[in-house]
Amino acid sequence: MSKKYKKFFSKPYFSILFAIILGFFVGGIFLYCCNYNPIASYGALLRGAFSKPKYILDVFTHSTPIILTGLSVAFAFKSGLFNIGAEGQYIMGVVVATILGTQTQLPPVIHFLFILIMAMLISGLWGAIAGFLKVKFGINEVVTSIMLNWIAFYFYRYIFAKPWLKVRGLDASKAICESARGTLFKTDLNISFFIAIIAVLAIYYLLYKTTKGFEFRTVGQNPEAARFVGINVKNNTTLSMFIAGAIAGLSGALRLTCSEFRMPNLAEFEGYGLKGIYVALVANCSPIGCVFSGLFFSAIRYGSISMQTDVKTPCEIINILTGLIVFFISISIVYRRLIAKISKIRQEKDHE
Amino acid sequence: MGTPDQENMAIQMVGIYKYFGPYCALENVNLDVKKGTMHAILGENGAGKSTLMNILYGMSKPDAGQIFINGKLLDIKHPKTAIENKIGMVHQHFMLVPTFTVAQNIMLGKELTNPFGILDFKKANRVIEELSEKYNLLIDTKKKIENMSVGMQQRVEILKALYREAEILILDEPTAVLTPQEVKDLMLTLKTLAQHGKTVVIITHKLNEIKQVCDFCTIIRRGKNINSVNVNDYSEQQLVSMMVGYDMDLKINKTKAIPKDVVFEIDNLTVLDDRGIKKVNNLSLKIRSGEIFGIAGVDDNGQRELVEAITSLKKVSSGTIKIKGLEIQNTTPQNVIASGIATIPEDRHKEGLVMNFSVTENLLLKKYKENPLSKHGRLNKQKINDFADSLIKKFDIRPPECKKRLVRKLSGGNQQKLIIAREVSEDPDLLVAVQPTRGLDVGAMEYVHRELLKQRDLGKAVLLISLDLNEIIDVADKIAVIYNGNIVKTFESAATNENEIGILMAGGGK
Repeated sequence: MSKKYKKFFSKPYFSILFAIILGFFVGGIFLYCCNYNPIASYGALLRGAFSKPKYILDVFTHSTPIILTGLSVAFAFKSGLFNIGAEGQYIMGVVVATILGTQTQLPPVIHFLFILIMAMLISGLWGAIAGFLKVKFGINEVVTSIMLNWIAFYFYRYIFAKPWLKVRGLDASKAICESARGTLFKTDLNISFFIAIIAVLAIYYLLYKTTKGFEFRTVGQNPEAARFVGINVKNNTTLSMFIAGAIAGLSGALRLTCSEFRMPNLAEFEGYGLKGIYVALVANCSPIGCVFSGLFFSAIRYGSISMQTDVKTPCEIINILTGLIVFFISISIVYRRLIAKISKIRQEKDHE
Repeated sequence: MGTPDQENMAIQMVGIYKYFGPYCALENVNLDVKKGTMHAILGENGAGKSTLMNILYGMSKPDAGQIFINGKLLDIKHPKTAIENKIGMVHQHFMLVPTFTVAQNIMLGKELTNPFGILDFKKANRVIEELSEKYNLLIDTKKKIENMSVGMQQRVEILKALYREAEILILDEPTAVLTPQEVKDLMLTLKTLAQHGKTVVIITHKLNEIKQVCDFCTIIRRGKNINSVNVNDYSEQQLVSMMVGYDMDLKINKTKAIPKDVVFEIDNLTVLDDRGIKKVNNLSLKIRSGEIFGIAGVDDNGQRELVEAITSLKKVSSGTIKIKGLEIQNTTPQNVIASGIATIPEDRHKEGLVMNFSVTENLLLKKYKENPLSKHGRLNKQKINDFADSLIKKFDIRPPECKKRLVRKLSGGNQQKLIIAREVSEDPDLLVAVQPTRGLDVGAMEYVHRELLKQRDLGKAVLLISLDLNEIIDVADKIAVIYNGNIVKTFESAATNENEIGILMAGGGK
């Protein structure tokens, strides 16, 4: 095996690409076993995502929340934390956006920006609670942030039932004012995707171009060494949970101000925060990667609607597909070793 | 088969070699252990004794060499093979399930069942109780591991090996985690085991234990056999000398130090460990600029805690640490660094480096906030690259184009050069070097020593803490011997020799 190939195969994006292909392949076997034509199904999936400009637009719009929750998880991970609490932070973002969108009156653009900033602040503090509990009492952030998810969820339901917010006879809250919305030219177009891109670039810049980001990454990679060279591990942990929370909150606020406008009645978690975990996984925790990974999951999710209507393949297959891809990425170490072994055998043969 | 001599031997390891990359951990090591004896493997940290025992237990594969157990040539690929051949090992870090009871832990992997395949705890409890009576290892079989003291947990580990019918028992640093009373109990246990005809191998660097219970002792230094002796024929001091060694060929040319003012001072320092035991006990020392102050001592005599106290990674319970008159005990690592102390830590991988960062990023770890490498919180890529280039060149970190390479891909010697480059470029008043040549080859060792001398000649104070007596005698200008957390005596290096220091290291000064 030539050196160029070897370099390509040892890169993380290769194993991710390979896992996606493997996921589709094994998913195809599932489809075949259930008497669906895998090729026709995947064809419909592709058409459903890309065949019309409106579809493409939908894919972009719906990718926004998961790009941002993915970014939140990826950023926390780079700082050595597992932010499973993106779900709760997302919910807090929705709540803040709804309250401020319905209860305050401000000029158009300012109102919108005010909502985003406040949502980021509150969700950031929500995330920072988990960070603070970790550094103060040594409680694992996974445990606390799962609990905080539930608190946020029931807080949402409490706020939702308030008479000043709920619309009688409708299973949703009042709509937020026009001034609070992020739509463009009074159409379905909205700026949420662009804001997500700005957030991604900002996090990339923070992580790789600033001293603070250098500290975050050092703490994430080796907290002991960080302590040894005089980096304050505790403050950085709390701060990175704040930032992770703020990104997830931005996700919730954008979803509400740009496409929902009303707080829906939640019977269960919407799952955007949890989707963020596999978006970040497929992105290999790279901020830029989250954009592509978010778009990918959004595309298969929206493509699956056409798959169901056109070729009658149930769209639940997407859940299987997602599960398979996540599984194959998780075991990617196995085939990276396999490749290492194959190239070693080849080398030995070459020597003979 | 086998000569009568071979049949007398429980363990014979012949010509064992083990490499970790280019680093030779074991070089032609031989070990003979007679049946029914207590045999110690003596050596400093990193000498290769644990590696040797891991090979015997099948946890690590030798690159060359043969192993005979009871005269039979064996290929031990896996601990399973070792257990089948009645070898048991008690690791330094216990392999127990905290939420399981004693009996459950002991039978784990070799469960007793009734004819229906259901676990038979009654029988298990009976078997274990019989064992514990036979070897005088009293224990409550129904107690959970998490509620037991470390000493009792170790007892469970020993019983676990006996339950698997071990005839040969290997103990890796068994007393490192025990309190003095627990050590006494363990020694009694080991004697009982030997009386029952078991062969016991202890890995240790503590001499009094060897003198107390062992029959024979094999000394390993830097991966090589030094000697195998009958313990009764040698004094503790002689054993220390063999363990820490003294090879003339390592001597480096050294000019005389020109010490100036005292810059660093420790007064009556006491530091407790997590269990509340005094590890540093009323220790005082003074270091002048322009001298290398070496602390010699056998491992675990308070060196680690002393360093952690200096770097403020651990709380001091009493006493003061002063640099240029400024008290720095119980402050933060940030303040310690700011006050002019740089440290070459003992554990390169854990404390010194971020293995998944590039060489440049590692060099930047202490400097990233300084102008012009960053301005207003923004890293200046160009300046950082220049900075890395100059340090790589100045400190000869190889390969020369390693700037973007991950540190994990560098050799140990070059990793150490990187740390030295980073710490020295801080221009500290005091450079603390802890085991700076651990695991390095001779060339890299020389480099490190020369660098320490260079810093001394630049007028810095250098505190060198090492388990390697060679290193201390070669490099230090003043030598202090630490024993039980206290400095027993301080010498001018010219005014002493390895025998005198060896006696003090072994506790002979009291």
